[in-house]
Amino acid sequence: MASKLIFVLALAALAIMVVLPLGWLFYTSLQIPDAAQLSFANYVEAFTKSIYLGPIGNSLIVATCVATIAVAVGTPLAWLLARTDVPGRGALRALIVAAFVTPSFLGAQAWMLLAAPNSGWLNKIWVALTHAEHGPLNIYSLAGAIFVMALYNIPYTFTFVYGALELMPAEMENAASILGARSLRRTLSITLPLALPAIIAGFIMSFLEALAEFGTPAFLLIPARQQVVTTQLYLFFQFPQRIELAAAYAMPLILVTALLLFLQRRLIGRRRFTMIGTKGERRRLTPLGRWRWAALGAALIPSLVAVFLPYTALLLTSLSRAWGLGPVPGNLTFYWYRWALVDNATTQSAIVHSFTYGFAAATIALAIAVTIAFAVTRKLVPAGELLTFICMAPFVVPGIILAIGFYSAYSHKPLLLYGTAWILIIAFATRFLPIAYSNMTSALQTLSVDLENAARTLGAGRVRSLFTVTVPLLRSAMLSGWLLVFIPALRELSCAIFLFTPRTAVMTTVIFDFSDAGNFEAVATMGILIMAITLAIVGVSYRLLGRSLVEQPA
Amino acid sequence: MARIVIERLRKRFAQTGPLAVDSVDLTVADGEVMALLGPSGCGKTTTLSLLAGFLRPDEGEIRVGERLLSSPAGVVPPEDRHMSMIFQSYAIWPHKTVFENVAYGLHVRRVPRREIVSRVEEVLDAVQMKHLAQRYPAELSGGQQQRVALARAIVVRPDILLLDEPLSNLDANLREQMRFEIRRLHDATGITMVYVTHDQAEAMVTADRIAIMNGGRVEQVGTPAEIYERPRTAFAASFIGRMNVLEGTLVGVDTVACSGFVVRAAAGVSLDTGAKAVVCIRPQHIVLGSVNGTPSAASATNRVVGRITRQTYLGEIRDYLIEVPGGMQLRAVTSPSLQHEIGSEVTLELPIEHCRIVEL
Amino acid sequence: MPQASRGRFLTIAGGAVAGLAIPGIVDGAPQAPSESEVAKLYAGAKKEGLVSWSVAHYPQETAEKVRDAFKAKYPGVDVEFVRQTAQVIYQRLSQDLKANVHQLDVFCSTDEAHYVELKKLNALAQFVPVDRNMIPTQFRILDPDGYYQLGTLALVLVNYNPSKLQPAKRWQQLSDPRFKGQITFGHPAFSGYVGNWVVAMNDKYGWDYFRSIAPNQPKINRSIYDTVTDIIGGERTIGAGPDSLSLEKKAAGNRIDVYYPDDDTILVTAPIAVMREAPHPNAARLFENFFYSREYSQVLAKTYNFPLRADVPSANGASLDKIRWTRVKVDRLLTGIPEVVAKWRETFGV
Repeated sequence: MASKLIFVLALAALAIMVVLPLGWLFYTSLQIPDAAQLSFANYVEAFTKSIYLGPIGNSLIVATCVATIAVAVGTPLAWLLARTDVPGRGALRALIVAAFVTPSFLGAQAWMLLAAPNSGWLNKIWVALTHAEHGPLNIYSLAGAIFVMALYNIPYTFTFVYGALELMPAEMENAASILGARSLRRTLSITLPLALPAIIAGFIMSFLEALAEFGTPAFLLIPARQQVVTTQLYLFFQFPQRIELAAAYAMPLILVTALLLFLQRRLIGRRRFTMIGTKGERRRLTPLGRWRWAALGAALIPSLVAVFLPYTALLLTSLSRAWGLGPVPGNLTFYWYRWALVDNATTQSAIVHSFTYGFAAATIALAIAVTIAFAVTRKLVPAGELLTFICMAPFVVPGIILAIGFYSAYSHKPLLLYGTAWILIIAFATRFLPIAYSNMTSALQTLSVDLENAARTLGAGRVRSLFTVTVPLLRSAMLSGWLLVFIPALRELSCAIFLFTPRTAVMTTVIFDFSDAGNFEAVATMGILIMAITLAIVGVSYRLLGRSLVEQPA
Repeated sequence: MARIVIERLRKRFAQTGPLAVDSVDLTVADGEVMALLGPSGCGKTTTLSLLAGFLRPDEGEIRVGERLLSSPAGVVPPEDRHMSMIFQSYAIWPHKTVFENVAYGLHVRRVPRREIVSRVEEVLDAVQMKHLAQRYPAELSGGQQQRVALARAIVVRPDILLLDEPLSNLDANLREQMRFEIRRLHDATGITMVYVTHDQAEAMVTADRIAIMNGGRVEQVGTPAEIYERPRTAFAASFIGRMNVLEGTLVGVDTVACSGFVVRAAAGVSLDTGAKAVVCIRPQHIVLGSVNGTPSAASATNRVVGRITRQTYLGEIRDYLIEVPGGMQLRAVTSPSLQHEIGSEVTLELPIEHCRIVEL
Repeated sequence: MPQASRGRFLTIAGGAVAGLAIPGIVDGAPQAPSESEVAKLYAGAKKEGLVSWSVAHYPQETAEKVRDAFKAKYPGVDVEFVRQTAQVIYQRLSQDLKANVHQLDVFCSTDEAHYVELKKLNALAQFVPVDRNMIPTQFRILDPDGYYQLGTLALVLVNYNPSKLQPAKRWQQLSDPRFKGQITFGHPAFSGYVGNWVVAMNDKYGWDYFRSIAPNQPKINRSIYDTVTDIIGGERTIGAGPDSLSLEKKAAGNRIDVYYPDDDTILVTAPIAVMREAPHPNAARLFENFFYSREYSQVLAKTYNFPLRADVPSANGASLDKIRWTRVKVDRLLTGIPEVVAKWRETFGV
């Protein structure tokens, strides 16, 4: 009986989190302001006006380039770490994790400091060294935005490919070795083709991430006078506000995402690449010989560009009283840290909010994920496929669009959540529910039903066996699932930017608000604070959970 | 010449871990099938990996013919050892067809295309997989995949073929069938084979000689008949076939006193009197008789009275478990027509010619 | 700055403002509350403890100084504020109002049209700060019905880097090829100040003015203060920018200066209003009243803005009787801003 109740509650939660907002979004797209009947007029306007079509083209170009670069860099990097004796693997992986948890809009801010055409530090150094007219870098361009987004997507593709390489049974490659194939041939004819599903999955994920990204295009592309779909959506919310048009404009993005995910599933499903691994046949690493150090250098480049340079720029700026004067001795101070942590009520409450909302969101998402995953994997309910679909559906919806849906659904009675912390918490939980759900599903699938059945034959009910047998065994998976929601929630921008109100600001919205009018010091300081906290949490969880944290199932 | 000589081979995995391979000496003659037989963890697979060049020995040497292939100083990589290997999981590449899988090694050796086609077809024919040449592994059964693995390994005409428990993923019937297939293939090609298995029946059928391994060491090397009839250690004795292992004390060069009875064996051992010893006899060699029959049922050498504690009808034989004075349980089998009731007393005759004293 | 010309500045500026006031309405407007009522407001504000404020009038640091001055004068009342561009704070306010969410107390935008709209929605409180009497008559009445008052007076003029080039003396000259790759603007869909300027230019020269600048590849940001950032950072060398922040940066030693164009500086009257359903009504009114205190005008003066009170000396060296300026009337802003935003998107692509 209790199990039925819990299940009903979980279903209700899903309805609130997923079904209603998406439903309202669709409904809103058919509305015309000040008119009673519904129509497709918004769709017509959104997709026939050339100024609205341009951004769609840009989005596709940007996303394709980002995904291509991310795969082109992430795959060799994964191969280097998984298959060779390149030195410093531990450090390399830590750097990749650091890039993984850095939000790309923060990277964009840092790269503005580094590569603005005339004032960027790298350009200034170049000019000083070569006496050229100006430096070669211009971050305010499509190329600049692609560069920054690719940088922070590389860890994503890396993780996919690295996971596949680690899971690949050594025997597959050993069989090629013993037939005479040396390292290069073996890698090209066996290793990479077997990793292809993961490479494709990485490509698709990067593509979708880039498509849905809001912060970086807002900072880098508006000055470049290039629009993408997400910035156009944002502009639909600016004056004069056109929510209905925004909703219509958003729908195809959802369709594209759904299509790509479907495609990915089919590609992996087809030539069923399941390989039964046997007991630890040890894997031979390709010795790099005299290329070891060059390889390390090459492997460090992505980290140099994604972590060292940007964080140095942010750190130095946060320690400068006035960024325009540069990080010179007289200018260095902790002023801005005091400002953020002590003097400024807005930043203080924003920091607290980021934590509390993230905490609540992660807990809610996990509770729902565990309950539904359990019910589905143990086949306790009909329509398991439908439930899975609903749980994974938010994945398909870019954050900014989800926010529009949430705003439409919950800014009027009877469910007035707008203006409270709850709309943010639920929006975060919804956005990252798919991650928690797939995490829990794969964990539950590896855990035999027999364990719970043993408890049940001894008299424990379903719920009790869930809590006393399954949950303790899943502890590790649950903790990593929780973190996989908490950490992204901390740095989530595209949802928050639409749903926050003065009383519910979070660190990312504060950064966004400071990002114009030259408040680089404030932005840098808040950025460093977010990253310090995130990295500390990641570090602690790494200790607790080991490597399983960052290796997501493909 | 594909004569394999393994000398003093040692391998340890962790710095302070146990020895996975503990001073193994082994010679495999050219064209021979040598089985490495033992329970899991005995070091047979590690030995095979060392042989293949996937691992480097901590001590010892591996030579093939006159060539030194492995030593602590270095290892000729697997690519250059002219060996082929069949893996326990077959390791058939799922992204290549059957044909492409088998042709791979030939491509690597830059065999001209026409020759590749003819050789692949020839070998696929030999394993009866020619009609499935364009299929993908996902569409094949386990047995078919295994044959592809076999074909892939032999099409390159290796000097040596290594097999790592190739049949353990097959069901019982298929396994039995494939044992003969592999032996037949060997006889047709004459390739030197090293065959790792934990299944003694497999070893008996396929191998010319068997090396029994336990705890990283080789306990005995010999033909199947030698090991079966003249095991040298208690482990070797019980690993092949069913065996009664009786512990006792040596009272004469060829006599062991177990608690309550004395057993004389066919051959002596050079141990001191009073030392612990073990005498073995197979269940099918014990002769059971009713107590009433012989008045001299009491203590004679190689004869003991016991009580039946269990009796099982197995169709071809009847299997008995008999408790003798001293607490030991002996196993005996008879033809199914002879039946002794549970609880009844019987005499057990242990013919001298079938008793062996072995090292513990 | 000599006292005399300041007085005249106030007169002339105020005259243009007062020109909006409909004769006779002054008598019908609500009377300002008395001194003791301020004390009552303060008592109530202390109980509320907080005022929530969104502001586009000046940059972050100036807003912080205003907050600190208010807290110094009225201890016990904290100020939580968001500084963003006018259209952004208006969009958020509208979104909140539509959902019947009331979390804002005081609204300070730089687009006067917002207030006309908010009045229509009945979202503003009718409130006349007592200390409004401390500023000269000409400034006192922005809205005859008393729903919003003057908060800040600002100019949009030419900002440039004096070490790199000579400024454009007229707005028209910005289409000169010598400024190619040098220009920087804010965006009228974000900044109220920039919106005012774009409407003024459009009305003066037609939209072709901007079409002629487009080939010079201006950098387009969001806030008018981004212009200042770009110039002192060396990113660009000339643009349409504010007076106050630029002069502040100039005084701090940065390479930036202002020029009052011969074809009109744009004057912007940026209003302040209290929300009708403000969660902290007393604190809100106390805060708006504070805008007419000497302390507020001192903060304005220190940050090179025009002080609202006559008894506070100005520091920005401007004298409105010596420069040519114009101001866009609020009726025009109502229609003009949406109009130019649409055209801007077509011309500049964002």
